[in-house]
Amino acid sequence: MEADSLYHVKQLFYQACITEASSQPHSPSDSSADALPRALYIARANLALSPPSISAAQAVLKPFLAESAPSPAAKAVAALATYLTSESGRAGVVDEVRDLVLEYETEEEGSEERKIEEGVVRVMAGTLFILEGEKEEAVATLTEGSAKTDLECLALLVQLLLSLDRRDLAQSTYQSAKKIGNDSTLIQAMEAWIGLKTGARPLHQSYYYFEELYQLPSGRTGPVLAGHAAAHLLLTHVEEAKADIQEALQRDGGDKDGDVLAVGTSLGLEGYASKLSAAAPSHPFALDLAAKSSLFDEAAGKFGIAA
Amino acid sequence: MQMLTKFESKSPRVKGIAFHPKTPLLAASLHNGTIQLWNYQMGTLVDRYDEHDGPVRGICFHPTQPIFCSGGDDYKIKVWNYKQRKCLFTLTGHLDYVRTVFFHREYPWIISASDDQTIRIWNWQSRTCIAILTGHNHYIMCAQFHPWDDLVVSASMDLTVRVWDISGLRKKNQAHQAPMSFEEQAARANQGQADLFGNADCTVKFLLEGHDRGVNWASFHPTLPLIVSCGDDRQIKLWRMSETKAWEVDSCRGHFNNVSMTMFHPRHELILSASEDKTIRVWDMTKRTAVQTFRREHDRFWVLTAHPELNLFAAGHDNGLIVFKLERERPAFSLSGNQLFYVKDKVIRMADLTTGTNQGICSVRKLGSQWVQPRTLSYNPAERAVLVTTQATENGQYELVTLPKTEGPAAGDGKDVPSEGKKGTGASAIFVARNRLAALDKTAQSIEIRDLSNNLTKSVKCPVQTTDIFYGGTASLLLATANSVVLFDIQQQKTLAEVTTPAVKYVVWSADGNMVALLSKHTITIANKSLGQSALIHETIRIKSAAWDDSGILIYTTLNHIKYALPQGDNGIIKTLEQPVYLTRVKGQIVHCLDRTGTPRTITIDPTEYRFKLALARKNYDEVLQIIRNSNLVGQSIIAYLQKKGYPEIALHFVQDQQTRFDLAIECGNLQVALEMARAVDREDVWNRLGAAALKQGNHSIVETAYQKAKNFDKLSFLYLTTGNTQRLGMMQSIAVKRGDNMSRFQNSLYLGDVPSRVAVLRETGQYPLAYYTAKTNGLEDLALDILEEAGMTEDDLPPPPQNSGHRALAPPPIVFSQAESNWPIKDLGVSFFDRALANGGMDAESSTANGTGEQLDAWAVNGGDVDGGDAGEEDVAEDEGWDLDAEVIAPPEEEEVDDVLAQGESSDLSEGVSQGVSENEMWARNSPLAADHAAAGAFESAMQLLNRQVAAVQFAPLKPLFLQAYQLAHVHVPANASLPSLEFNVRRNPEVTELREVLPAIAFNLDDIKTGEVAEANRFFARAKFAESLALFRGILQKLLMVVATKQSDADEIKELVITCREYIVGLTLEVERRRLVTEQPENISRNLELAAYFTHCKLGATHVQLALRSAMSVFSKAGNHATAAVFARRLIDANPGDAKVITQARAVLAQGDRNPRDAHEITYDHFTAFDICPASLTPIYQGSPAVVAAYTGAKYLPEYKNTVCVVDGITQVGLPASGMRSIV
Repeated sequence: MEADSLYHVKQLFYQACITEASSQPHSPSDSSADALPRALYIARANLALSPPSISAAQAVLKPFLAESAPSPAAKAVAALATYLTSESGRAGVVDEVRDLVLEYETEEEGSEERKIEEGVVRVMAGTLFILEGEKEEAVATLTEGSAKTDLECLALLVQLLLSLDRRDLAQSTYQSAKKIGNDSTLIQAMEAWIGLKTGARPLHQSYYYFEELYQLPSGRTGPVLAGHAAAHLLLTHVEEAKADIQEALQRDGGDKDGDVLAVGTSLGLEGYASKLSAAAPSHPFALDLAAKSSLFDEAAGKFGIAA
Repeated sequence: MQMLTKFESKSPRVKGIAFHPKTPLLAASLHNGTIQLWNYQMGTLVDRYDEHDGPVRGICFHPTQPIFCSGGDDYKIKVWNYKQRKCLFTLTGHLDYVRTVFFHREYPWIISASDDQTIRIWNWQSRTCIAILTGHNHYIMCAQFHPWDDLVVSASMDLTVRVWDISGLRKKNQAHQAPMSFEEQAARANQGQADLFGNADCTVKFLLEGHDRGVNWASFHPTLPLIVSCGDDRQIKLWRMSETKAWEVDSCRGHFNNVSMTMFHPRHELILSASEDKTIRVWDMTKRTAVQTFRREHDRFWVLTAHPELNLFAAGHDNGLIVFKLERERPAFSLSGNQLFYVKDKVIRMADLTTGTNQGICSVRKLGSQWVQPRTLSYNPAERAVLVTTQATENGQYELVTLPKTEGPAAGDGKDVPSEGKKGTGASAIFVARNRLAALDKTAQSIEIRDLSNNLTKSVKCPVQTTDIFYGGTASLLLATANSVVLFDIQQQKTLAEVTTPAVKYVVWSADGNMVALLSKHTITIANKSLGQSALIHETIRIKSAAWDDSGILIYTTLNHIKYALPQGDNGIIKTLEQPVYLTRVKGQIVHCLDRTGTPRTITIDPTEYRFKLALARKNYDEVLQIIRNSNLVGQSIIAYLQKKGYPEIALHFVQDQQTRFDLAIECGNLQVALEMARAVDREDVWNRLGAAALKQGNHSIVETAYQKAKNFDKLSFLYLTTGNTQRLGMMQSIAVKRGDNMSRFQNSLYLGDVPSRVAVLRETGQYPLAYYTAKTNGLEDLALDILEEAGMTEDDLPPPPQNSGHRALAPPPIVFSQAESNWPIKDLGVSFFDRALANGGMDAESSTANGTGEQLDAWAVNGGDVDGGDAGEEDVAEDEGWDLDAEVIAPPEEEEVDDVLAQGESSDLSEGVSQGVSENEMWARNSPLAADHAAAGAFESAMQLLNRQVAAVQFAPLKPLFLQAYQLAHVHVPANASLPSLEFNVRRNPEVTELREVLPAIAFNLDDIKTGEVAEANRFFARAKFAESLALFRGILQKLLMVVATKQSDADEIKELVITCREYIVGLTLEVERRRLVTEQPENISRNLELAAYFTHCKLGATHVQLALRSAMSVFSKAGNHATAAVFARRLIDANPGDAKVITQARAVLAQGDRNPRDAHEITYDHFTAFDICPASLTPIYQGSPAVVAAYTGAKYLPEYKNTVCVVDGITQVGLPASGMRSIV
């Protein structure tokens, strides 16, 4: 097998087995070349937990930040950690990341390592921009420099484009990503996301992506089950979807997992909407439903007895 | 006997003539030195050879090799290869004219006769002379091998005919072929020496003397030991020979000039002769009497030959040659059911087509001349009678034969059973009815009708100059004239119809008698039974016969083909024939026919092609499909046919060639296939055509691809403008910049409404005035000043703008609907039957057609039928294409710029900012007129507007949970990238569709759930008298029904009914709830209490529920002392026939009480005689005809004063507001 010692942690990370990725062994004394990327993935996994385990992430990053010339990638991940810590000072963090990205702007042709670093920085920056709603900037960040050949950036971009209802662009992004690496999990994920949006045969194929994740030994995490259930639901297999949610609930913290609760809500399961807004008030679906509720009141207010 | 001329040519004098034994080739050697090669069937001159110097007299084809030999007055014998079309070699040796040359049937020998008084035998393989036969002492006119014996016969001017024995030569030749022992070699050497001295190999066997002048020709009988010779003494002599001697038998006299040639008829006991007296004569070999003389006016006959296998003769004369037959080979026959009656060798035979057996019945030897076969046969199944005609005599003759009833085999296979028929004269005679026959008297031009005793019953004058008569349906005749056919009714003696056609020789009726084929020499007229012509078929070669298939297809034969003709005239070849056959019947794949020897045969044909065409012509597409699947139909002809007939989509199945597939796909509007093929072909003209075709259908994504591929920048820009794709327009603009095309830049900036860049273009191109005014009008004052400065002018220098220029900025209209994402409504081409069927069945068909069209079908299935995949794939590809735009398609003139564009290409598409796309929510709202779908799409306001319009809904608060739930159920979030919010997906109720114009949200509420859930529950509450709960549930149902999406019309109808039911229950329950409230709160108000109870019974509830209401009203009324009205309820209750006996008893008691005491204690507003509705608000009756206002949703009627209030039944709608009615199905 190709000596990508990062393979395992990467896979876990991509396969939405965040918990497992976050608990990957990591020794601070590790001084191999892979130490930093590995630490970055673990830190990112910690940050991706719901709720994020910020202190753990920071602990993992600490040795690298303490170096004399800390890697921009580590700084970027640290920035995300800071961002997630508090509401205040977010603007500063964003600016910091913006500067990190700018460093690469002028770069001509970096080394391979440098490229990977740049990718991480861009992913982090893109994530932050998206979280901040700076979509234009996110697009720019994720399409420039080495982002064009970085699958993580492209995956982020695909998600962003899909959320902007630009399936056409997402499809072309996916096509160009496919040229980079055909069998990567991320590529499959991108295809699946697009497929879920498309319907028909692509939808069926997407389902199999989630089914594969579901069948993996490390699978059946909250996000995986949520994705599996959602794919079922999109295929109008409501009963199977409900079974997935039930399974997810059996897990530790399943009833707190925003992703699971959101899909449960979509399935119309009793009480899930309120559970969702209670357990994960910041989940986009919870926010969306709240917004729709007020939208309804607003709209209903426009009607009344007409003389 | 007739001379039936089959072919005639004009040329200089023909001195030699030879048939090819297999192919329809005829070689003629001419007096002018030319050898002609004719195809006598097609009537064409195949080749000519001009290498002989002087007349060519002898010519002969080799029986198997593609060679022929010729001998001429240049003393030469030449051997030719007619395939290589050249002379192979020349045999020289003769010292004078060569008269005849013949190949040996077996050995590589040529025998030649020459004026040098020798006969020579040559080996054409070794090209040497192997024998010289000397003995004649004058010119030798002819020398031939015996057909099977080692003999040669020769005729000479020395008045003798000699028979030579060449067995020695044969033995020597045979010996050559085997490996030789030493002794043999020695013997041969000796023999060879001997050969030099004499003719040891060939000796004269018989010397036949008898002719008084030079003998011109002598030939052997094909089977018998007979020789016939002829000479300048104008006689034909018949000689017989035995092992030891030969003698003259007899002479035939009649010719009055030199007889140039004579021969035995290959099959009959006849002798033929050709003479310089311009006649060909036929003699009876046994009686030595003249049978027939065929005379020509000016042409002396020089040669005569018979075809080695066919009944054909050829004769050469002064001005050319003729090919002729002496007898008709077409057997007379008639088909009746499965029985075929025909004449063979003058014996009437019957063949059973089912069993394939045949037997002779009786002989008609006495009819006409001995040598002439009957021409027609007409069978009368009712009387088992046969009418046979012959044209042996001048006016023709017929014989009416009653066939023996016995079915058993006749003596001598019929030969020895003489017919004892009644004869009469008539050119043609047929049965026209069970007991009548008609005979045509050609000279008198009358038709005689006779009964079966051959007694004349009447005579009818022909209305037209008739040459022949045919059966024309019962009591009718078809009269053939030289240029038409007339349908003639014998009884009325009236012409019914007439059709113009070349002289008709035969008439063939279809089995059901509805169609008739009129066969002429080269045409077939297909007509119906009243001679309405439906088709005319032309053939270049002779048409021989025809028969109708059961499915209405005419199968016919020409000289060399079996062909078919559809009723509308399409025809084609089924099979090639070696020999002509005469069709008697066609049944499925089996063609029954008689061959030229009069033997019944069957031929198996492949009916696929004509069945396919027939099915197509009759629009029987199921069968077409069946045939496509199950047979191997391929070939250019079928494609061309389909295309010509307007079925390009079917043709598409057979085509592999990309260009052709493209053409066909364009023709049938199958853009997907066209696109695929265009990609494969990838030529500009192809893209242009695809673009035009796609534009017609409004499929602009394909138009876009096509324009891109064809680099049609202007059109592409305009397309983006019309589809509102501003983003790509922007790209077009940057491309225009790269291309340095200022016009295009200007145009795109205009389309985009991008004033600065428009100004920039104008400025760069030096159009300062225009730039200035453009800037100025659009309020870009600074820019305007810049321009002025650049132009070196001030504002004062400028002429005032034209008066009418105005100050309006020029900008494209805003985009109302961006159509970039999906296509325009596409012209509905109507799914072709084949598209559908072939797509659906494609997979099944795979196995059966794997050999030929399987692949095609497969491909088809994937493209057309597989709705869930193929299309989506295509669409994606198409979109993808669009983004290749600047990367590949656009090739600017300079290389550097290419790089530039490429470098920017990837980023420019995204870096210029990504605008929000059309969300699926928007599509949902656009695609559905249902409030539920709008709510699911989150378009609450438009959902409300819809409800407002449809059911006059104004108060939406009760619907809030429903709206939210609909939205909630139609969206699902899937976690995607780490640390990012999850991705939202829209749940569709039709996940299999790909066209964005058809997507619809998941159904949140469906009828079945409501029926099994809420409705059942509400009914349970009702039965248990939990009225308040029941009321709330029914109202909830009513509200929910507004959000129900039905998928079929029956459901939608059921929803409408359910709304009415709910209304009735709600009104009834309101009454009852109110009554109970009164009972507890205002017990004194008895009359109101009674009224409410009475009204309750008038709600249209379920049967058992009405009984409950009646029982309640009955008891309430009895208690209150309103016995008369209570009795009314009691009666209604009894009429309702309740199941419980106790209830009936109770009702009877109340009824009795009412009869005893028919009075009401309390005065109430209740008239049970007049129909009324109950105002749900005031709970008072609205009698028919009284003014009322209606709540649009439930149809509840209110008193007028409740107009413009919220309906109390549903709690949502406004009373009295007009509405269009609820919709629950898309």
